[in-house]
Amino acid sequence: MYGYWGKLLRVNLTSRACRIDDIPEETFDLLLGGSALGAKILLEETPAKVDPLSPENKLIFAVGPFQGVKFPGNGKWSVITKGPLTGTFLESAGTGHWAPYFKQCGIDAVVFEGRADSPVYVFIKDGGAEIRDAAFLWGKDTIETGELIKEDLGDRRINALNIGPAGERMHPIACISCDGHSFAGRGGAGAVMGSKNLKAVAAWGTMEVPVHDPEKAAEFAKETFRLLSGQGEKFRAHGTPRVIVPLEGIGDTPIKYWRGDENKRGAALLGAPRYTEYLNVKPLPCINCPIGCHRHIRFEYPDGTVLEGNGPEYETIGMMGSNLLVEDLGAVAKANDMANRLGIDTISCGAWIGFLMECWEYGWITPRDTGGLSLKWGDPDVLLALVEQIGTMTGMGGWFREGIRGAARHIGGEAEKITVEVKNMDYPAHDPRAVYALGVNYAVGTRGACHERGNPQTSALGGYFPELGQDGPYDRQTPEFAAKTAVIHQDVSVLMNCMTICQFMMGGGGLTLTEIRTAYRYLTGKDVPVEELVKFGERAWQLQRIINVRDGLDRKDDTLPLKMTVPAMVGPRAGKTPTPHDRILDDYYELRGWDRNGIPTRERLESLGLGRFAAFLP
Amino acid sequence: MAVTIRLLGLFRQYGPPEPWVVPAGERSIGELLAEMEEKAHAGYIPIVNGERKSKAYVPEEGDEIKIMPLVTGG
Ligand code: SF4
Repeated sequence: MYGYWGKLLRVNLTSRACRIDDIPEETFDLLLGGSALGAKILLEETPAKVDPLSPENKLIFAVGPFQGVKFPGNGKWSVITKGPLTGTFLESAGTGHWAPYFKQCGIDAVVFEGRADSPVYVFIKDGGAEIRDAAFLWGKDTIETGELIKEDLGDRRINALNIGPAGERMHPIACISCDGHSFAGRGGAGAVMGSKNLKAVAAWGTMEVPVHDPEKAAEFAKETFRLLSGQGEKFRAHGTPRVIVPLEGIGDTPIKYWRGDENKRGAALLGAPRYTEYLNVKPLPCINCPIGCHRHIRFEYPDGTVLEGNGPEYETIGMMGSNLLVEDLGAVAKANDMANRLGIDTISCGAWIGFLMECWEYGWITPRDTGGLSLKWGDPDVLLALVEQIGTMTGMGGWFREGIRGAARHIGGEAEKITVEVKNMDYPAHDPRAVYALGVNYAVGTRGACHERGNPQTSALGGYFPELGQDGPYDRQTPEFAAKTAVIHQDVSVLMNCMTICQFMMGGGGLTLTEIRTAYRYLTGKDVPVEELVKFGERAWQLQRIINVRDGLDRKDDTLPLKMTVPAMVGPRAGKTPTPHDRILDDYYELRGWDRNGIPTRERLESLGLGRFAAFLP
Repeated sequence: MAVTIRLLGLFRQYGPPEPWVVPAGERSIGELLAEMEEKAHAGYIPIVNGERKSKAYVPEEGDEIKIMPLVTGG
């Protein structure tokens, strides 16, 4: 087999035993790797309704075939588990410098089982792994942990996926950090690591992945790198903060916890090009990345302190800036740094702060609840104080132990009506009233409201797939196009998470499905037409849905928050709502081959080669 | 002798939102859009009659050109 090792490393943390199992070639032919491979393992090896923080839950890291050569964007890895925030299937993905070295250890995936009796970290190397004591790392933040592991292993080249203090405390939005600038951010995969007493997973391999046509594969990777580097030049200059202004311009960016209609001034102050100059930005690329969308910033505060390191991305600026009416970019950068070090998801953290500010505005919480803090919209000091409390689960942060639904129950009254989430996962920084496909995309999201699986907001920026027969992006505010747009973007973005290539190679660098097909052929010797390639994305999606359906989820869980049914009074989305949600959901289920209750049909599963997984359906 | 160029998504905030007519066989797409690219701080891919082309492509009579911005927001 080419492009893969066909090997799965199992690390049992309870018995501290490691073992390597075979993965048959047919599995890769059906599922590719990454997200889909992890979903299959989770479905087959964990019982229904497994407690995400119990030793019985499994934690899987997986990559795909593209780590065999220096292909652009192959710093991507996927982590798959049951998520503590939603209780559903969870896949989260990060980039950085870890994935290719992990693959070069001679494995395609690793499964962590059980729970260590004391803190450990695992060092994966050529053909195996070593479980090492992590007492000296416990309590350290994500940046310190990465540095200390380099020292402990005596090699500065070695990178480790790791958790911060939030993950150790099993925080429901704890993320997994890679290199301090890339995160598997959403849904609490870091808490699952913490529940297993697993502080970090370092990897350093030197084995050469078997590749079908190594010369052509390497040459094509080089050519594609050059092409994307040229095409992505402008995106490199300003990164994701570039889209703050245009997305506010179409009503996509959250304002005042989804109640504001326009925020032109805030967008101009927070977004690029101002961001680039104000924070002294340099691009910060992951391994084998021709773009470098991540931002390295150096900012001196009025008190003389300097913040140097990873800068906030679009989502963080959206949720911690515009969403809260905070216009102070220095404060957003500081809040981002605090959250990254503690190891929490900046999206949910920003959403929770917005929710608290709204509760304060309505008088549902008072100075007695807040320790005297006035939760005023736009106050940068409140932002910083609440990031601290949420990250450490102290003060008001303690209300969120079960996510936003738990906090709303704690506050009581009408609070549950103002939350903006699906399956307990907070909306990210894109508004379905601006792009209707987002409403259904979030509703059916296998891990809750997610803008990366798929990412129909890119259609509003002009992105579409000519190779899949589209002759332009579908209209973003026509209900009839919503389900169709969601499906096509889901299939492509989930495909990327099975291939494990950074999605920005497409949207930011112009990588095509045809180029992916060519590279895949050189890597594996298998030629798969583009229409078939996207079916890999659909297979992964169906498997993930089966996991959730097995746990009792169905149509009742595919919801649209109340606020999304309230149109703006003025501005670019005045009078617009992604409704009727029920009808859009019907369209979506039909396109996916699900019944009216959102359950995948046996026929559809069989047509995708997934017939045997129907046995997991109730 | 004319060609239509349709700007998509982000670029519509920086140029004509309706299809825009340019003469065929004269300037490359890169030359035609240089100013807008600077203003928009965003790159793009020209899609000519459904196929991706480079910016060096010089439009021919009857071409239908769509400009897909290369920018994304996570
Ligand atoms: S585009 Fe951004 S996220 Fe993707 S590999 Fe490059 S730096 Fe990392």
